[in-house]
Amino acid sequence: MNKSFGQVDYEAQMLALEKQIYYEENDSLLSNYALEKFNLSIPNGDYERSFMELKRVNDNFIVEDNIKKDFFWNAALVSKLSSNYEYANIYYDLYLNLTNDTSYSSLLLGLLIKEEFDTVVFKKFREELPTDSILGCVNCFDKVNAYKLKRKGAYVFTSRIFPGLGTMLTGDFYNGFGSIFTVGGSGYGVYYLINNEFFIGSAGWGYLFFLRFYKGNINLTKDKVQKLEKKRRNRLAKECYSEIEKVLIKYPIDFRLNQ
Amino acid sequence: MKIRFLLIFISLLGFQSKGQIDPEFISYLVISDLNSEHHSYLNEFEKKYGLSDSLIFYKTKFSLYTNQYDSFESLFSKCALCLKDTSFVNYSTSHLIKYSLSNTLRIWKIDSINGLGLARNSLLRRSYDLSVNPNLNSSFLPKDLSYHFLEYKDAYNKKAWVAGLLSTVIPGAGKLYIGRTNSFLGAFALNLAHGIIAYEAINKKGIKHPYSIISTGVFGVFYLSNIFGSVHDLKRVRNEKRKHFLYEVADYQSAGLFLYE
Repeated sequence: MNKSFGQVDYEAQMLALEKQIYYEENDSLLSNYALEKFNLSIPNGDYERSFMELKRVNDNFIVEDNIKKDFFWNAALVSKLSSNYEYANIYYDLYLNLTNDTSYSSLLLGLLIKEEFDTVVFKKFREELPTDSILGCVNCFDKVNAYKLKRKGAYVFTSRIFPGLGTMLTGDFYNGFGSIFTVGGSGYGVYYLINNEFFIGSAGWGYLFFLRFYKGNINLTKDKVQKLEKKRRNRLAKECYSEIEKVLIKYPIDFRLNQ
Repeated sequence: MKIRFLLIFISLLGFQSKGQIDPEFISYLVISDLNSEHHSYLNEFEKKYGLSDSLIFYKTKFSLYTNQYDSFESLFSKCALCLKDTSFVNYSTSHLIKYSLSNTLRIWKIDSINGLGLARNSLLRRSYDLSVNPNLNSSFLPKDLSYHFLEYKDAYNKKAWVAGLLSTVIPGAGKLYIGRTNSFLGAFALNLAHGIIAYEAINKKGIKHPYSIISTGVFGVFYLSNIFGSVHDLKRVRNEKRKHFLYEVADYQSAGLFLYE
């Protein structure tokens, strides 16, 4: 483990605080040390560790409202950054209950947290937002969540009628052509065998090859349709995040470590 | 004069106690899953008091706990206390064998060269020897492990050439011989189907007809795969059973042993 001087210093401070926690019997002081550790861990950028420290803090022991307010804010942000969305939502609601903060930064953080949940929670939060232009861009989240590829069944149906075509229509020409070749080739083979009265051979090749290739072609199309839908949704999400990024530059969401 | 000596003695005791690792604090760090703090704590000691035997012991434990097996191996070779602790040697080899057999063998080697050879008569070591030669005396194995050993021994004593020969005579029979009944049915049915198709083709059009050549070729590929598959499968079954047996022994040996009390 090669660590810079800063990192060594940080680890030493974390250890010193942990020792204090270990020897401390007073719950209030213990929680204070845990809060100190949590705050100390944030600038280091290891949000998984910060989240672990966060869970040790008992907010009931935080007396000053300013400290509590900053703690809830940081806790919501750390939870979001470490992908613990349930916690992020809880801490954000606690922050909002305490502060009624309607600044753009606060509302943006709320939106980014709530958008991870089902659309009902997200819609409810959005309805309470002021309807002005700056937060208008968040509508794109709706589009992302609601996006569904149109005529999905048509791709599969096409592949049933003309093997490989549905796959080609999803944009995968290589595999689509492969399906045409394998299903067509094996189908022709079975036809040839029947014509030449190879009845056992036609049944065997039909079952062992043609049917499998045909079913495989349909499953492949279904899979490609799912991938196409995901790809398009991701593209929409990317566009949406670039819109949000513009707002975030204007109203940044930063940790609050002044206290 | 006596009081002065007493004071010096007390201060020396105090100095020594400051230089000792607190096992309870370490246990607390382990329970709380605070690996970074645990690492810092051990490093802090090294900086302050240098590398003592007990510190190497704790560092060795830590590297095993955090699955840093290469570092564990190098620390283990320098760890005088580890080499005297039968429980630790048994625990570590039981843990390590699931990660790598070669690492475990090296630990045993270190134990026999640098240490007291504590692992030589351990259940795992003897079971390992038994897995190399299953025809050795296995009476030392507890009842719970005998079953797994017999399973392995059964696979070990099966001959690859017999599996191959059986599959040559009756496609899939080699799989039945090594205990894979379901695979036997699949292989037999597939070879039978291809055999019949090839027979039909030859019977109607003669061996030189392109369809007969293709059908016979496909049948040949499946038939040969079935033979080689049986031989290969036997090796796989042997390895699986051996691994399973050794894992069971490792679990048995490490039951009731803990890295940190």
